[in-house]
Amino acid sequence: MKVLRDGDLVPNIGTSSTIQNPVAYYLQDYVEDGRISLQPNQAIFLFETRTATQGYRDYQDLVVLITLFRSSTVYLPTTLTKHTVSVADGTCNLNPSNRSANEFYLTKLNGSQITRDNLLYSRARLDYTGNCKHLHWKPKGNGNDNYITVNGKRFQCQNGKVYDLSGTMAVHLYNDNYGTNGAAMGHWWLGVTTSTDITITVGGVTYTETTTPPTPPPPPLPPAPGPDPGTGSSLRLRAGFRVEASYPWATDGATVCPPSAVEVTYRVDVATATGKTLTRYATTTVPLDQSGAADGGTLMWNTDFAMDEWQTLDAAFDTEGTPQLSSYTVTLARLERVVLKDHLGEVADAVPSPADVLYEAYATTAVSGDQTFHLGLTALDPFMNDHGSNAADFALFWRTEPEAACTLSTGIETAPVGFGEPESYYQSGAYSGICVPNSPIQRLGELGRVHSFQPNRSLRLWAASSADETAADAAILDVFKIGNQATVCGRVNINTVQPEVLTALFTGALEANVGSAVEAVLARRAQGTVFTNVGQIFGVVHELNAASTSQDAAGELAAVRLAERITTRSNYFTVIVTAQATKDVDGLPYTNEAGQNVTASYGVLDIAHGGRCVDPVLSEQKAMAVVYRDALTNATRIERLEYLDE
Amino acid sequence: MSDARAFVLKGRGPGLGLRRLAALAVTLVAASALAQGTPAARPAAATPAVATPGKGEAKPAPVPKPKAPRQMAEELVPLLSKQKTPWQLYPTYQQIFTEFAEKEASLVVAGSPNDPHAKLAKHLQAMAGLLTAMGDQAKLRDDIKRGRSALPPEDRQNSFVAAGTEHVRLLAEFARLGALLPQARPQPVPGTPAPATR
Repeated sequence: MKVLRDGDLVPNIGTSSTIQNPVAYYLQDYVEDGRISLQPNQAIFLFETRTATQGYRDYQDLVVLITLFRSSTVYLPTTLTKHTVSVADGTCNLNPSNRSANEFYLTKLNGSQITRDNLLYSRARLDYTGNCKHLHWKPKGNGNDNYITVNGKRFQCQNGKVYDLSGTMAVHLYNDNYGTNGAAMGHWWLGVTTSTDITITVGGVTYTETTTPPTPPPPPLPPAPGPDPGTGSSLRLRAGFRVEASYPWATDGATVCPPSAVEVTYRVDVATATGKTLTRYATTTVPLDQSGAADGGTLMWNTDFAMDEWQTLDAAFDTEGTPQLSSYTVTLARLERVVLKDHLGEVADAVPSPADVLYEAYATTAVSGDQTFHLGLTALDPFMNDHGSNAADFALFWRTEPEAACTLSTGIETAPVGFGEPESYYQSGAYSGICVPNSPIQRLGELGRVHSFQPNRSLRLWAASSADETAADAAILDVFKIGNQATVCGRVNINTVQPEVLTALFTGALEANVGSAVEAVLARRAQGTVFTNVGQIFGVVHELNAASTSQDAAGELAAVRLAERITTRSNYFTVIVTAQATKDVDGLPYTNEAGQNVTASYGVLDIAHGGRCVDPVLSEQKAMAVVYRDALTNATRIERLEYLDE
Repeated sequence: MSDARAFVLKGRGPGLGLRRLAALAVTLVAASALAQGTPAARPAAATPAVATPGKGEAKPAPVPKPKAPRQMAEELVPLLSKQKTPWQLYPTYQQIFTEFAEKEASLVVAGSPNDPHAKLAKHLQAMAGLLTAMGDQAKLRDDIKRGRSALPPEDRQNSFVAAGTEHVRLLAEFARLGALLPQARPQPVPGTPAPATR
């Protein structure tokens, strides 16, 4: 017997049989990139019935897939009568099988289909969210992950069966291994988000069920009694949270990848005037129930404060004498950590970085009686929210309310300004075309999509106006290169003053007017500007760009298209050398370059205003040399030398 | 050039893998059983069955016994000697002694500078001032401890120790002044008949 686990090589075992296939044939549904693809709780057992002396052993007499799971988590449908059911939601891992009967396909409302081949050839990058009218698939992998909700109940999808859903459904088809560039056929997931009047077929048999009248809910429990009001000396405390999450580029993030949980870990310390203290340290889950589109993405938040449990401190005050010691204060309200988990239960974001706390605050006064303290935190850039309060630049990335550092407000609680208002917050700012393409960089100009570590701003390679021709980050283009080639031929030195060359270079590469751009470059050169790195031309010649500052991606088109085509470091130089023999004169008055009236003297090369030689030239010889500079060693050599007669 | 354009037109990249915490609002609701009949502050909708003391069949609250300044000082000295009292609470104690002083000052007969009430009022006011000074030292220590101090880092350790020493000195002075206060006289409890007099 042999046992195969996830990642094992497919056994290269043939067969002596003329009517049976080798073992690899029976494993093909579980092979991905030449290796066995299984879930951690799965194994394939290969049995051979022959002994070593009975002939060739091909280990395909019995091929068994074992999946281990806890029986208590499996809910198999049991009742039958209703042919048409409704499906609320669910996800299934798709079997990449290429057997015709098992091959996945999705039929859209217009009749077009997404097939297994479409998934294969997309190299894991196909991502479909929309409606369809038919689904056909066979599940794969961990059985606990594969289920749909049918009429409010869990409907387990078993790996060995083929399922068909007919009706109008909203689905999401995606690959959760899209970071790779491979096929990743075992990582396709099918999510059914909404549907009504669905017919389900399991292995060709229509699924039906009996509906039973719902059990009336039990009567609500009487409210838990509070502390004895007559004692008059207890203090109770609880914390509530509202959370807002940003999905930068997912316009439908609330439906296709909603968070499964937002967990807030916090600590509150309270001290009373009698010297008693109360500490609440807990982690609570905050549901996000609202969503809205924001700047090409989605914001999700919760409307009401999600209140955690009460914590009580008995005998907190001295009320038996006057004056009473009945005041208390919050000495610490610490937001230790906020963890956002995705729909798969994985951590999508954790704030702040480990070994830091998000924020600490305290009350500035003591109070008596019931009181509400509150504070608000707003990430100025959701991408840069990992800075905790101990970071020196915390204030650069978080706005706090109240503004006074580390203080709590008292009174009716309020959410931070803009909370739950996607129309007014997290809009793209100037030069803010940030992108996380999850793929290798193909053009140097893509560096302009990288976050600049300034709130809501990417690296800026360009200038939209003359006023912005400073502080660009374009010099970074000279630091990186794409690919592993050591030599790139055919680059144009941007310092050329030949308008035809510049015109040819810019044509088709600029959104701006090519003629104006050429004139602007030549004007800079005429003013003495020498471009010393590739990025300089993009950063300091705003005429190359036609976009506004809010269109960073469009503005950096020129950099994307041109960065690999230009250079500022020539390797060939033409040098013209002039040698002159002069007669040194003395006592001849002349006006020098500075406009001063001076007298020629021996031992000095006297040059008059305008460059005229006061010391007369007796003879002259010119030579032209072509010099080559080795880019690696910086050594030079003369390739060609000739004397010029004219 | 076409792939470069495709890159730009592709937009801002896949969004499914990115979810970021954007904002957080926190509210702390403290319900004190002393706030008789006053419901805890909002959020009312999210605050089921707040321990709203005083609702329903409340027992009659026990009648508080008046405390003399000396008694109060004797309670505070051991409390403050631990140096763990938050600085926010010192104004509470200071207010108590200020009210003691104001009460004594109200008993001063006009034009009698040697009135014992005037002396006692001044004495109590001095004790209130000591409490304020102790609160300042406690805040100085708390700010250093929590990294919020504006002092140069090299001075913080010495300042922390010095503030503690000063707090001890101030507390000793407070205790000394407290010991000079007159012994508490039995005070009539409001609502009860005065003791019989001859």
